[in-house]
Amino acid sequence: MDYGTTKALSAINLTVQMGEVVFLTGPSGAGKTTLLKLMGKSIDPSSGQVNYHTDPKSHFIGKVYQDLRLIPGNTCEKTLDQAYDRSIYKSKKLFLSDRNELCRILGISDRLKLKIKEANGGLKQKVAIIRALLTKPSILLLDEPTSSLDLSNAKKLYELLSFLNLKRGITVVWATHNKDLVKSFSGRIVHLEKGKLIHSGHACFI
Amino acid sequence: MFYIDKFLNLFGKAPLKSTFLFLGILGVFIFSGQQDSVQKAINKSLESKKKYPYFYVLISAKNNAQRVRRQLVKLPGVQEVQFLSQKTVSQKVKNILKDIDIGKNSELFDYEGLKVSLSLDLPPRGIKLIRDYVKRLVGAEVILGSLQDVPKDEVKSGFVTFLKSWGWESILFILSIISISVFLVIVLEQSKEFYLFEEFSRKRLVGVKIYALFITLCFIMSLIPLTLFNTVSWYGPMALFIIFQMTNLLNTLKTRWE
Ligand SMILES: Nc1ncnc2c1ncn2[C@@H]1O[C@H](COP(=O)(O)OP(=O)(O)OP(=O)(O)O)[C@@H](O)[C@H]1O
Ligand SMILES: [Mg+2]
Repeated sequence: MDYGTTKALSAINLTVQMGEVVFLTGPSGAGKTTLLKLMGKSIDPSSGQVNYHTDPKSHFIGKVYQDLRLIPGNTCEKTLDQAYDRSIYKSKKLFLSDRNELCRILGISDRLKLKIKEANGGLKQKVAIIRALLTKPSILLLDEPTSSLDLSNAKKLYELLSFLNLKRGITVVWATHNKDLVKSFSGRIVHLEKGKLIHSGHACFI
Repeated sequence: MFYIDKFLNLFGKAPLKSTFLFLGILGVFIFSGQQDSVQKAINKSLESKKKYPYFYVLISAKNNAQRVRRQLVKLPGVQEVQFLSQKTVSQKVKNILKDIDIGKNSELFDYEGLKVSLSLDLPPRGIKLIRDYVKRLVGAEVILGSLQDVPKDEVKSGFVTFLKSWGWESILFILSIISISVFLVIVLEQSKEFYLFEEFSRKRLVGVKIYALFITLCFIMSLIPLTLFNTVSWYGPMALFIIFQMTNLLNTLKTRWE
């Protein structure tokens, strides 16, 4: 994958199974974001291809990118409502009960009326994550979702995601430069450096 | 329906801007169907701005200036004859003579006046004929002013002739450019919201669909006044409708959050 003359990724061959939890690690500039955006079809590869071995209609990709993509003037509540879709939720009531449950788990129920521009980094990150989860994705792509969260919040998020992974079989790809955080989690670790895949394997074998 | 809901949502969020855009597009549609009446109005305003050569005639109040006026209007080459009452004339005279000490009862105050405007293309011989005719009609007690506002050739500028044949087209062109630019700016402002709807609501081309709806609504609303005003040509509104829809399609297709 090239950006003009910059080679961000070269010769990556990676397969993610449905229902798998994968951590993308690597130092800054390794190409984690680029790989994630390729997986999310937000950018097109300059060579090679990204294939889904399932029917594209049967899966939906939830995305939490590094820039979070929130509109500053909206409240947290309104931001979450962007995920309300009648084709997934039969009624607004069901949507709201899901929303409130997720907000309770991540501990932001009392701050929903805040505007995005008034929210701190952690709250913004949680709002973006919950918004993605509310779309009931079968694949969830997270780019540095815990960069503004402390260790206990990061663990809480991990527990929530592994619960959803077990219950709904949701596939999670989580990019982070924090290798130590990931070591305590269970899942496959894919390590990138300078646009190359260095290794791929489970934490306990590294 | 999702799109109508989102459409009303956007409208409610920026009611002023949306109303402005709505009226703007509606106005352009209506304007585009009114070639004949617009062009007529343009020509009329150009005509009335045009200055005709004229001269003043002062007629003693003992004579009947109105009668002279009726006679003059009938002449070929006379564009218009304006009657000036005794009061108006004496006011004008006073203004001119205020520095000169002239008695209040000067005989100059007993005059009525006519302002005789002539056609632009009247040859000098014709002008002389008309002036002679006035003298003959009134007799010795007439005062004729000199000829004013003789048209110079460059007055009939290319711009006026251009406006006369292309006035409606040029105004329509300018209006279309303005309204399309405003449209593009507003859509650009909203492109991030559209992106979010697409990313989180399993919908595609949200912006395109919402604005296709908006433009169609403007078009349908413009049909009512267009029908009432007896529109002859529907090509203008139809062409503009297509132009707006194409702009919408091209612009909103490429709006993404990068
Ligand atoms: N839009 C872009 N235009 C040009 N170069 C880019 C662009 N995005 C990324 N790059 C370059 O591609 C390389 C990989 O970037 P990428 O953002 O994928 O790294 P990363 O692993 O996500 O880093 P970080 O931990 O800082 O987020 C870097 O050298 C970066 O400078
Ligand atoms: Mg990155």
